[in-house]
Amino acid sequence: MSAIRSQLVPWVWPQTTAKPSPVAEEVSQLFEEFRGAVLRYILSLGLPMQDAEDILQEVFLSLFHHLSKDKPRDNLRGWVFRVGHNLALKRRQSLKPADALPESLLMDPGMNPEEEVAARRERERMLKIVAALPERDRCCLLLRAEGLRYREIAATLNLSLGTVSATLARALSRLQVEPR
Amino acid sequence: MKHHKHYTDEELLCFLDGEGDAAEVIHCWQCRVRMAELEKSVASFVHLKQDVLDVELPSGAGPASLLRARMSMYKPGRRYAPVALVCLLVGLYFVWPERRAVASYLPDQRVTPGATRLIAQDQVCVLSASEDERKPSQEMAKQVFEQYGIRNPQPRQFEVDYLIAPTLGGADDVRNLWPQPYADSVWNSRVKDALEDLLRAKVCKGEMDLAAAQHEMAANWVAAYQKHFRTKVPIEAHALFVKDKPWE
Repeated sequence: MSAIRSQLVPWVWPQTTAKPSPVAEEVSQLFEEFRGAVLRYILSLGLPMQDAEDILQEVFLSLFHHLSKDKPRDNLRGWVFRVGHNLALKRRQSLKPADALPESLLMDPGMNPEEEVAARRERERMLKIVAALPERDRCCLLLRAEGLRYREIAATLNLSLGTVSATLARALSRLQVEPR
Repeated sequence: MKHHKHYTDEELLCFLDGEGDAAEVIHCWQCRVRMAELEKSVASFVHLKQDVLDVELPSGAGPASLLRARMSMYKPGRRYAPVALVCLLVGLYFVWPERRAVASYLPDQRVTPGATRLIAQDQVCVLSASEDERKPSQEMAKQVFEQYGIRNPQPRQFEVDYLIAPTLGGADDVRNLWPQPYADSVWNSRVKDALEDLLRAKVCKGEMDLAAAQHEMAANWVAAYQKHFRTKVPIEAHALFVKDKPWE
């Protein structure tokens, strides 16, 4: 009887100290690798830190289920960003409008008139331009700056490759340093 | 001589990003100048992102632990037998009724509802340090392990912890004790100790009623932690904080 019990008990009360599955190990490694980039991207969509951390957990749990079911594992970085992007937009809809833009993009450049150094003026000018960009353009720029390739950006934002390259070129042209 | 067209910004950016063959561009000075301008815009945006847009991120240790704990609860290989599992649970319920409670970061309310002793709010704030170090007797600890169906507890795996801490008026009573995972769980006894200290400080500053603090600890200390520290996951420093010793 005791032998049967020792076999059955782990079914009912799984031990938390058990060795993680290979998929769990892999997802933990991917979490370490991508956490910073994905979290920064989600925050750039205007979510508070706590919501962004929540979404990150959902993203990687979804990835764990995805990989546990032996689903395709090509372009996992694009997959993670795409799920994060979609969940972040969904969460943002439930937030108040005041929370909907990153604080850094809501900065009033006129707040520090005494600091009229060239570098600061340039940064303020660029902040204004970035804040005024259509969200899709801003997302493309941020994803590219996080190191995603065009096909990964296209998969994340559900765009064609051509649209990604055209959007990036347009956004960078707007950011171009003004002739002095 | 072959006449070269000028490339569009889009094409030039593709070359810059390694998405196309840039060899042809070197023949056209105008295209190279335009490419350099685009490169400058890239650099400006990257600096802007690093200096202004990127916020400092908190440590990932807590979230990583939470993710590992959540993944450990998922057993993909066992999805095929949910009915068998239910039958097994029902069977075990009758065969081993004393095993209904399971050690967890939250106690089984049926076994550990929490118990308090008579103490005034101002008395709580002048309790001696020994109150903070109070430990249940071995006999009581044994009784608690039995109630939770733990027949052979491993040393250092649990802390037989007070649900309502003695420093908050918790009683030395088995109804106020449960075997809490000492360090393995995300919500372990170290994290709870940090909450106990915070609630006591709030009570002593008059920011909180003693009864309210006791109720919050007894009802769901994890929810209380999340509320008072305004976080969904334990703060890393708390997870590393060692105050009470494990059961040995």
